[in-house]
Amino acid sequence: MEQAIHRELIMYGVEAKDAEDAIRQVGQLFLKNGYVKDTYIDAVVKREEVFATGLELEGISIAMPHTDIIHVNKPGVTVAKLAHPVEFEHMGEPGRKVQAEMLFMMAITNPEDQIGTIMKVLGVFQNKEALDAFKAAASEEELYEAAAKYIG
Amino acid sequence: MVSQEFTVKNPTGIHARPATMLVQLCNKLPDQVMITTEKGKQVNPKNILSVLMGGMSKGMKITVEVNGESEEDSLRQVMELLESFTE
Repeated sequence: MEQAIHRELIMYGVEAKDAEDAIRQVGQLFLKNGYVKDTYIDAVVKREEVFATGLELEGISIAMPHTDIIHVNKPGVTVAKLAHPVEFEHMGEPGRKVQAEMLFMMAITNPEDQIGTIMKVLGVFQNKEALDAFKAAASEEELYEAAAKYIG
Repeated sequence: MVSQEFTVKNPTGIHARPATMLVQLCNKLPDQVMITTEKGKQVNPKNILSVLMGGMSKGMKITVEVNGESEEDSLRQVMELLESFTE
């Protein structure tokens, strides 16, 4: 898999009022850096309503919003830490709410890479040291350092 | 107990959307369902994290096992869903 973490896809302290707002703000990282087409953000919002991507992991809750490859120019994954958790629905369990603290939004061009990206992110949070580093990150720079070190 | 092998055919593998559909179906089934991947990983298809971490990518052989009173019917439903994944 190609390098997943790019400096321009890191965002710290996102003030979002709900899941859609979080997706729209974080999605701008992809848009302004040319990773996605201008249809991407709306498509992610729509898909999230039908197939939620919130995940409650041990010690942290995250969301991994994404959409179909036709909306994407080049692959990447955002590492965004929210100022306050926002409510997402849990993947696979309609009605179960999770308070997501971070958004790993994915821009996928090769569908076969998708599962690898998901596993990589989930795998990171099984590592207590990595989890602590993401939890402790208090600036964009620290978040980038944690992401580069543990996700690569 | 009944079981059947399956080779993952859809390009994205059993990831977010297909994984969600699999978990939702299996949670409706009254029987015990277990998936073992060709790498020997045990996946609980009623748990989304277990499914995602199973790494069931395109081309991987998996074995679906069902144990319970309506195991034949449950297995058929799981296989039909797996066959239906195209994305």
